[in-house]
Amino acid sequence: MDSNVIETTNVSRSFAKSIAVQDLNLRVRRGSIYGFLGRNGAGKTTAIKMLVGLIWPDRGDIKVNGVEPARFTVEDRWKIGYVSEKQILNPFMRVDALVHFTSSFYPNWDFTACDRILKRFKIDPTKRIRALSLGMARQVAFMLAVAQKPDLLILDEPAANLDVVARREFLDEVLDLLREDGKTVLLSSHILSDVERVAEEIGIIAQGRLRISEPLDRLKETVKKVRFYGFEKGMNGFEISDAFNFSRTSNEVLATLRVENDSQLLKLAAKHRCQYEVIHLNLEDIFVEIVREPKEPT
Amino acid sequence: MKAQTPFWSLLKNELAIGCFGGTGQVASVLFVYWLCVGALPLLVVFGDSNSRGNIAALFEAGFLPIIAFLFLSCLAVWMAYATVPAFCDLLSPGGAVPGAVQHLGAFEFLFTRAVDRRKLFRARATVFFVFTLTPLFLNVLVSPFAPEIRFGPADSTSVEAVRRYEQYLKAFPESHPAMVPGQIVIPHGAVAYTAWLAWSGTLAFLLLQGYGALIARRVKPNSWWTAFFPGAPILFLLSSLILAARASRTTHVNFYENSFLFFSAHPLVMLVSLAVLAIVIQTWCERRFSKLEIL
Repeated sequence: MDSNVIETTNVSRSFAKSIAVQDLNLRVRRGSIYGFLGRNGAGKTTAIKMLVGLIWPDRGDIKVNGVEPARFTVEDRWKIGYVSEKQILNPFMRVDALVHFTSSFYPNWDFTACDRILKRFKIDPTKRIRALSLGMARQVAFMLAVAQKPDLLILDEPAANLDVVARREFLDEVLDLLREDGKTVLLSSHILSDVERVAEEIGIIAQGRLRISEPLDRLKETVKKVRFYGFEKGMNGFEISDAFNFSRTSNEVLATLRVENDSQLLKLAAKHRCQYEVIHLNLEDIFVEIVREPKEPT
Repeated sequence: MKAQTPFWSLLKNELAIGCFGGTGQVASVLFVYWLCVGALPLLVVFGDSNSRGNIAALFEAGFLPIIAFLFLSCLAVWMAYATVPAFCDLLSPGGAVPGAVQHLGAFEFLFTRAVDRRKLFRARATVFFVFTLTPLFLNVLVSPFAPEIRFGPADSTSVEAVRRYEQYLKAFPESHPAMVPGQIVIPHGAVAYTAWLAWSGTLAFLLLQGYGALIARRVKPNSWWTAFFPGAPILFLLSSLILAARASRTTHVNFYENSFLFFSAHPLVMLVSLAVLAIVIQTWCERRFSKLEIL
């Protein structure tokens, strides 16, 4: 069995004249919770839709559980649970009827999990979908994805429309799921605190390109914001080519970059005769630094 | 062993069984609908006291182009709903309707479950087939019990009428003179007529289904184009019917009558051709549908 449940190689997809995803190289390790982050329109949903076989890449290769989404069989789909960003369920169906209908496609349907999740989220199974709040409808969609007992669960903004308590319960449910061996979750969300709570690995996509993909601990440990100041010979020629974000004012430079060790910064400061200050970042800061446009010089 | 998608589950979902009622309730509604709609083509033959039982009057009256246009227009819109996700999104943005007439979200939900997309399309096509064509097939079933069908043009002595007599005698060699002067009895005429209607309806269904599957991947969520593509067959039909009416006035060739006679003269060939066409179009549509993108 491959160690990566998702592998994409140079995947690109455009719509009309706009490039939604460009040269995406995504690797999601089996058994991990992968937080897939990006701003609105960054290409997250397009990438996810390609993973589940709703749209096809213009070029590049995608393998999910070792199979191209274009060649998914019914058996391949048993292993992939998906909750979309705007999951619309049949509004006229009762929750129990929807469960019954969806269960007919899965041989290992977990009715116990359905009951547990419905109880946990306090959803009446005899209610029609249209009688549920948006948040509850999303919980039903989540339940349907979990009850099929997938190896890979892909959740696109699953916590949208959920209140704080429901979000917590939802995250607990995701964690419960991970306790089962071999389960993998790809979680795309705007709520970074949620992702930070559960994700082990993080991928950040900006303007269709995957800017970073690595374990959360390493990301927080190594990505720093550094303020360079006190330039003795001026700032001309001061560049950091591999910085995630780089901006300069009249007398200082702010750069977000990967700092593996202090000697790297010491060398840089010595070379340009300046001083520096390291600012530690949390996930939200890192995300903002990576995805935002550099400031114009003032 | 290959996993199978339960067809009956999909069919029930497409029929909205479980949304508005059980199988019995949905079947009852369908049956009443079929009885109402199914009587329409036969009413044309048997309803008017002046032309009752005279098939010539039917073709001369010009009802058929109107019925055909209405039937095909409805079918074109329904097929667009079944096959073009962008069209569903245009007509019911942000909402959803149960059954085969569904919102884009229903496509997305089913496309991401462990559902064989080809079977999903087959279930969807079955529902539309059952809705639109069952009345025509019910007519075929009851047609052996229908009163006899005769042929007697209004002006039975004209050159045109003589030519039509010859055509009818060629298509129905067992025809014999009727009690009414100037008319001939067409044996099994009601069966031939209703079978021709069902055959034509099935052909139209298959062609529109093929057109839907052809354009489904090209139509993107852009209101103008999305509205135009499913509407194109309707515009085509309308212009064809106007042109055919004009041509038949000048050439005295009735397209519908000629089609009926050709079908009646070669029923086996026409049925086999339709069956082959159905297999080819259905297979092709299912393959295209399974590769559909949900943007």
